[in-house]
Amino acid sequence: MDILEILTQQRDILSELNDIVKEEKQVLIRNDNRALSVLLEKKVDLINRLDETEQKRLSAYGENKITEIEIPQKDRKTVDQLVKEIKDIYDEVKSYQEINMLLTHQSIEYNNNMIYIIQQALMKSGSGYSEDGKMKGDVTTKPYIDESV
Amino acid sequence: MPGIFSTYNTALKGLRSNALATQTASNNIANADTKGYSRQRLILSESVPYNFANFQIGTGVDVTNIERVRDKYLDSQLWHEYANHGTFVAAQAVLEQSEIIFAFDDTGLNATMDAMWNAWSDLAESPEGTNGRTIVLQATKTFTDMMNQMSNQIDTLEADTLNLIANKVDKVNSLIGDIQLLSDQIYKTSLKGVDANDLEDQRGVLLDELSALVNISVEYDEFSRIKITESDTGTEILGFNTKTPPAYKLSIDISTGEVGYDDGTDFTAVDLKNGEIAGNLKALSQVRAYKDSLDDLAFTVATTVNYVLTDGNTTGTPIFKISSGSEFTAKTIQVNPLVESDVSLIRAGLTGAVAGDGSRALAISQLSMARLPAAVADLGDFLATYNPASMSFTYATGARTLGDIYEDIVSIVGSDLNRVNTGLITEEALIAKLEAREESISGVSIDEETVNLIKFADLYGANAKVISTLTEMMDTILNMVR
Repeated sequence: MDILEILTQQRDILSELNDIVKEEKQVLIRNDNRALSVLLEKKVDLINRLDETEQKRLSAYGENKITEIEIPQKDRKTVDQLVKEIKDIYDEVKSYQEINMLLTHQSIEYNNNMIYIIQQALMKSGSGYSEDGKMKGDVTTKPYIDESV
Repeated sequence: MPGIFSTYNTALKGLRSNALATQTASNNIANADTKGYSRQRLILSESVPYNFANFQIGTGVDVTNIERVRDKYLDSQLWHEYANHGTFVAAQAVLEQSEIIFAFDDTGLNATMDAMWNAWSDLAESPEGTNGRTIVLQATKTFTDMMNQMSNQIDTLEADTLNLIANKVDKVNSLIGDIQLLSDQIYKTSLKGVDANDLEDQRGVLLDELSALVNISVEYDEFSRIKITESDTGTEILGFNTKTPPAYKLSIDISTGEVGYDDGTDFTAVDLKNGEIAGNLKALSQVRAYKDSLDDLAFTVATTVNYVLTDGNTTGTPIFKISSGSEFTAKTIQVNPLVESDVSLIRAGLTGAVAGDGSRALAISQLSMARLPAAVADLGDFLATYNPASMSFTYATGARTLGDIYEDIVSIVGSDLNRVNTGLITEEALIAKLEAREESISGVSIDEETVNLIKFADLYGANAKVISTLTEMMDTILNMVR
């Protein structure tokens, strides 16, 4: 597989990713978890595909950068165009990725707050028997919630 | 131009909405068990983005509104069913007491009447002594006492029901006043562009209470004010204007038991069909009908026994006291004091001249088996079946015995109550279904919230990892093409 083919594949995958991150932003705002899990699967698939192209590149060209790879003159223009497109898409995707990361962290923070609130709401105090068999006041029972979440 | 400040701004907006969402959810959880509380949710929308190069840069999230999750169609269905339910509940309470009064067992009026007929039968067999007459007197007195007691119990039940209706009428007016007050506060809040969710919940609870008393339909305007119409008669009992007092006030004429609307000058009686007030009114009219039937029975027994005993009041002393100008009723029926003081006045034989003649007592005892015309409303009906010369009764087809008449009253009371109980079971099932639906829409489930949050935590964690991985891969690719 030549560099032209690899770059074309990577451009296409990044372009798909661009569409996904745009949709992901809306999904995160809407707090639509079902849609988010669908997007997550798509992104995992894209990661695998990107990884495949990277493996092909590494096996064909090693750690060489594009400027260090020998490219036939007839393909030079197309490669330059592909590189430009990849850079443009990268900028756009990167900006969305940052926002989506922020939104995801906020959601995690929100979840943690909520679990804490529920935990507080569920804490009930009551009386129970102490070890000496007498009534013991104000025993606090904690609901079984995984606090590590 | 996207930069570090715009990114921070996006983050800040997100954090603010996050805090508000936490507050809203916390409020939901705290009120999970509050009566009438409707779940609230945050309505988020994307902030206006700005254009950069060939693409738009987002600026985060804005909170548009905190919405009260409520299905108004379901509300109106529930209010209608609460009214139907109220009809049955109110009627049931009154009719259950009627069923106790009109007992049909060893302690009921049926047993008392049987004992009275048996006493006459015993007297017919031993007409000479005073013992049989004393037993007849005592059995008759037990019968009249029970009639009087039943009548008094019905009067008390009737008076209690009327008071209950009057209290409910007052409650309707008081609830309408409270609802108007809340609507005014909701209106003022709404003018400021804020949804008064909690006040609307409070008003919802009052509407639930009102709908159990009278059948209502509710309309909303753009400021969340409401117009309440009493559906059975189409009378507007509260208008949209929160400052104008209602034109009609529900009222009761305690002397007649009629319920109607008072516009400040006139009272117009109306026929309410649903709600607790209607249920009580219906039960009241049923109780009055039972009382009339009991009065008819008291009249029939006293008139026929007296007639046979005195040959139509031409000879001898009647055992039931006849007051001038008044008919026998269950309330007034009583043993003749003359007979009470001298039991020998009770005639057992045809003339009293022949020893061992108990034919008159026998004829009276046979009254229990005599089939009398369906409505022994006056003496003429009775005379058509009785032959004074032979002291015997003719068989009237389709007619009823005195025992049957009482049994019929008991059956009517029982079937009225049964109908109400059946209706109540159906209504309770329907309301449970509607309330479950309402709960699924407006209610708060802590279990569900918790499970979802834990699920979401995993999801968001995975998403964060995927974003990082993708960013790393993209950086590698970019590094290669540089």
